[in-house]
Amino acid sequence: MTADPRWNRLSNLFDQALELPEEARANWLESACADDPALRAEVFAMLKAHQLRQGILESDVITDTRAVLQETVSEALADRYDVERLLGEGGMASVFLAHEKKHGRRVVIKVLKPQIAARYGVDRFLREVRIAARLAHPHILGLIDSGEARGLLYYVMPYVEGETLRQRLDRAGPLPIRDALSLLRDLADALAHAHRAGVVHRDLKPGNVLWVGNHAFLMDFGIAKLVDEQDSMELTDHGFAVGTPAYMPPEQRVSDPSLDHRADLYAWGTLAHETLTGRLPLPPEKAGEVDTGGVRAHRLELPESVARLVARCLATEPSRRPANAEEIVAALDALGAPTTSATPRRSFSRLALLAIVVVVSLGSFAVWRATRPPPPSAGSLPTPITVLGFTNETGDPSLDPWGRMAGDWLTQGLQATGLVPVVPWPTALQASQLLQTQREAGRGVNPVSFLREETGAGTVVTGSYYLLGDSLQFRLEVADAVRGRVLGTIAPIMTSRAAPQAGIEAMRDRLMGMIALWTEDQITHAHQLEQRPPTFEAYQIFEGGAERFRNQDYAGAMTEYRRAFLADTEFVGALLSAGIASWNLGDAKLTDSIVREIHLRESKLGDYQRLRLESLDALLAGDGEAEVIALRKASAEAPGSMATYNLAVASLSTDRPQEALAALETLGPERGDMRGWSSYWTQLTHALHLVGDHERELKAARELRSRYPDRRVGLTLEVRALAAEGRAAAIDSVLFAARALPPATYWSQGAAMVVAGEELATHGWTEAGTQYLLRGKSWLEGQLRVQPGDESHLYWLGSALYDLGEWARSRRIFDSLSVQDPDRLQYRGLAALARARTGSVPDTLGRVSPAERGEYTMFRARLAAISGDYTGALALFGEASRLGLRGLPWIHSSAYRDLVAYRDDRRALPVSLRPAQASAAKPN
Amino acid sequence: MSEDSNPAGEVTGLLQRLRTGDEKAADQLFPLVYDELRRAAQRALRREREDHTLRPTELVHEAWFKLAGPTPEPLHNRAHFLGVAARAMRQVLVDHARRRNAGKRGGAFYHTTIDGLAPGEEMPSDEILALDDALTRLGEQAPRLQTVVEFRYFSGLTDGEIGELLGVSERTVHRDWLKARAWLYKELYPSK
Repeated sequence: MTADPRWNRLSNLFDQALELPEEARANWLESACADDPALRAEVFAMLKAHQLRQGILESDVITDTRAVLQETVSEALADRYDVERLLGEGGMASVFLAHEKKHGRRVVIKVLKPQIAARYGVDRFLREVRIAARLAHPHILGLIDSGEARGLLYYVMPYVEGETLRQRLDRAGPLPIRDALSLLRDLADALAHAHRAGVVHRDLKPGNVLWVGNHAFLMDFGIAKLVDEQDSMELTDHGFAVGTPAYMPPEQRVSDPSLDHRADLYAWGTLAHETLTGRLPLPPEKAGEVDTGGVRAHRLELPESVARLVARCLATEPSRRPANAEEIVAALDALGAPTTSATPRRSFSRLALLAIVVVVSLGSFAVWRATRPPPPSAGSLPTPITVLGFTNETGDPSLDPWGRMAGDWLTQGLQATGLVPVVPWPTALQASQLLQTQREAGRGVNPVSFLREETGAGTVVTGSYYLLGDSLQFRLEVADAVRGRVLGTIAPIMTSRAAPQAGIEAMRDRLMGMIALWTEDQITHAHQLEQRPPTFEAYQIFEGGAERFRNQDYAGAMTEYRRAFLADTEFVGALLSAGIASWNLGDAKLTDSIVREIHLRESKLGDYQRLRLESLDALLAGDGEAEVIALRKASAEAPGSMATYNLAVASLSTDRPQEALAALETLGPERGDMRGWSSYWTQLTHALHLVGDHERELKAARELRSRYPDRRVGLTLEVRALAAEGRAAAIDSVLFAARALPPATYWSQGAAMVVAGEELATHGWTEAGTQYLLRGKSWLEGQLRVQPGDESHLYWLGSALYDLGEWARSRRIFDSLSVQDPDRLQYRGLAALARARTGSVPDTLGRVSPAERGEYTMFRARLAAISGDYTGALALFGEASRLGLRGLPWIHSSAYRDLVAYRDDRRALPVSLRPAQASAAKPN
Repeated sequence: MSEDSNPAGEVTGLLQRLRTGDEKAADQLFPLVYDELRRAAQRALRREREDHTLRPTELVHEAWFKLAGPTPEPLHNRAHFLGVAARAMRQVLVDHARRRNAGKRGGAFYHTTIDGLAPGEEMPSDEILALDDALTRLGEQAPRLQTVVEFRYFSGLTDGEIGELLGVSERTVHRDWLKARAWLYKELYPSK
């Protein structure tokens, strides 16, 4: 029972609110808790949370998410609709058939998937829907209803029995001219109406058109805007097909912010083409219009004016299309009743024919050689080369991974030639994604110069892929980023949708060939190219792992990486990533076994990966020097990548704070992999601390705190920076602010106090240091009374006691910790130190793995110092730094008592172990 | 005779004392249960190499069989055991999660991560740790709610059994559960 009146009130409010029907709760809460808006908000948040269907507390239950969804939807909308069954599911929403109670009619309820709903938010959804719902037109299938229920966003449309135009075309081919023209006129009229109301459909295509009883109805107006441009759904009885981008005008494909209603006209033109001929028009080239004779070539009885109209709509430049849909309606009306009698045949002009031929073959290599600017001569191809992820123009986001894989494999191919420096894939991927974000934000960005800035590339390779029926078509373009011009393209490569690897390989070969031609050299196969792209499935799994890795969920990442490797046992890159993840988990044995597996398959790794493997080998062997050397090379290959960051960390471990600082400064916090990576700031403060630049160190620590307020480490680091300059009062305010924070894993005020104490003492403020140590000690003792056995508190208390000279107690704590966790060298080491202090001869530190050699040597060094062998200790300190240990940045303060003997002559000590001079003044 | 460890006998004795309201019995029982659960967790992890999950209630029942012996125990003893086991199970899971996440300064933890963590560096991935934090905070304001969640989530006790252990009605337990869950989820999954 708690005496806290606020909690009691919260509790009662919640209880009472639950008794009420859902829609009454908000109002009741308003009046019942009018005086305390904060409390009201909290109760409200609880009520919302109450309706979450899946959280950790449900995790023991196996849920069939589909069934849960249907149940939830049924329950949520039970007052107005009887949900009959799930009709189908697309990427964006689930579609249910239901019966509307009020009017007794059948309806379709589309429920947005939670991730999509979360992305757009309720307000925006409702706003968009409201706009669309305003449209009342005989040929627009209106929205009946929409809203949010139980956190699900939904909208409701009448269920019209009939087929979509898509189904009709698939079933029976092009429409009779009369029907087609009628349909097209209906659609144009609907568009005109919508455009007048300020609404652009943006997803006009046969799948969104119902063709029923010779009437056309346009569906999903405005909603399509909400969903990802490249994903939309069609409803069929049996399943879902996905739209193609052929209906998307060029300006929509690049998310041109000036997109307007004329995008719909383009789509109308495409639809018209398909409805009349059964085929899509050829994809637009950059220059000029598409074949004007195309439509008529297939339907000779089609009036010329219509053919011209369609062609105009398909213009790549919006300004060359009809000004508005009314024009189209007028043109169609002017036809009068279309006759089926053939109008006199017109033959294509020879010029037009030639134009077609040229357009079609313009992509081919040979033609470009003749018509494009001459390629750069040998040696003048700007380097390095960046290959970007290919843009997915298929409209199916499940095909996204192919684009990234294409970029990845082309990069490796270029690297393998050994002819030109190539920006490593991770850097390029990051840049591609950044570019995408920029575009989505509507900022007009010149892709090539943006990429040049991001990756430092001289030559940029970009590409895209489309869906044509069951095939994927890849296109590729090479541009000179320095001079800003296109150097060449490759003829589009068609490949099967299900297994495009062969096509990607072919593209890689051709690109390699192009580069070789330009550098006028032979392709030297430095090693057998046994590599082939991984399977689709494996690559997708791998990407899932990479995402988790970035979120520092190493356990999750490792699981995914291993699964990716199991899915495709040739995919060695996945193993490498698994090795890194398992190392981060602290499982040296597992890492070792993974690394051995990788070595068996070394030939499949690229250069950069091979260097990462080398650094892993060094890490496992406890050879800090070798690790740094390997990482220097890897970093040189990819300056903006994780390797440079790892180099910084490895440098800090091996007593090279200057080099660490340089590496981190090369990276900067916003470049590439460092974006959003809080550890960047952590390492930066370490480096700055060790080189003695405490002013910048403090800035960096505060930066970390402000960017990542949830990361308690920022507090510790700020405390440390302040302690280095003796600013006790400032430390107090940080600690005071921290009191209000809820406890967190392994962070405690006590720990921060001990850190402050050690740091102050190290830098010469012995008095103040002791004060903090005592405060920390009593705080931790207090905590341990309530939570005896808390490992973190015990550890810090043991450390504080050691610092304060209470050897016996310290020893007891570390002894018990090492019994509890015999695998941790640190506990055994500290126990041995404490034992040495109490005069007993310490036993050996037990068995130590190669990776722990640095840490082990550090303990031996400290033991030597305790026993008075200062010279021997110096040698061991040096050796420990060479072998490397991750804790090195902390040792100068955590071991300050053992280093006291060197206070007068620090020069012999490794740089990282030299505490700075205390300054006379104590600014606050 | 006294040298032989007879865990079943010891546990039974402690459980009997626990039932009579002997608080100290819970403290003595805790380390036994904790150890057994920890071992059970390690066994479970070794079994499931691919899928690093633990099913708390299964482990607790496994531990029950190990400690209480093969003879069927009266139900009320089992419930008491599960009560202690719930807290122990929670500790095991939290310790397991922490162990995987380096968080302390100094060599032992530092050298195990390529990115070198510092004190207080959190690994945001472990939901169980977030739950543990939130649960502790909940316990500071409403101890019975924390207990209900522990009993239910970590030990799989039913509302009725929990009610018996805590001396409240089943209905109260259910209401407590809903409230605790809502509060925890509000903390764990804040909506934008």
